[in-house]
Amino acid sequence: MFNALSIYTEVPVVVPTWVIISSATMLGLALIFALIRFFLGPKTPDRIVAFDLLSSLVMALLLFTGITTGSDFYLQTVLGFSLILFIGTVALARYLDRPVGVAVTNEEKDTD
Amino acid sequence: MHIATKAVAFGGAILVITYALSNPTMPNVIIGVMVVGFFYMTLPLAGHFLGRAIYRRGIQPVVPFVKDEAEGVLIRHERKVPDKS
Repeated sequence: MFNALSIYTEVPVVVPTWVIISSATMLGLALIFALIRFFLGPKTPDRIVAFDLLSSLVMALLLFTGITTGSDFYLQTVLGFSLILFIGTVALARYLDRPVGVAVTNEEKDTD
Repeated sequence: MHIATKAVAFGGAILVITYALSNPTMPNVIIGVMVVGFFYMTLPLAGHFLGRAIYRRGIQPVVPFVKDEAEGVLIRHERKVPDKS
């Protein structure tokens, strides 16, 4: 029988194996679907939202690994990751918020 | 907007609460509360920015609007090229 917890001996809460397998399967399926939308999204906002979802799923994967291994430092990683995720989303939204097909000159680039 | 806010906020909050309950040391609980508060503060902002930018870019949804409530409130950029990107 496959035991995902065999290499971790000092686990405070033993997570059942079927919980680990099913949640890893769901996270993997979500990653695959987000990757599909990222590669064949018809427009740029689809790709950007899919990228945002991908980084959130990586964060969820970090938390999942932290829960199953019982280690301490994954939560601090998630804290830093959420900061970067927010700033990246706002930067991509600022990139989207511009006229399409209109040349932006240097004078009006720095306004607002 | 729904993907950028709701899924991450609720799923991430549930995962962080599970983390803090399964390993209940003092730093984990404090950082967990901080992370959940940060999610609920920043993710609605990020989703709002994304939806506003997509609306102002002039991209029509797949299912067309029944009633465009942001008509005249948000200014859409004028498009010189057809709706391609």
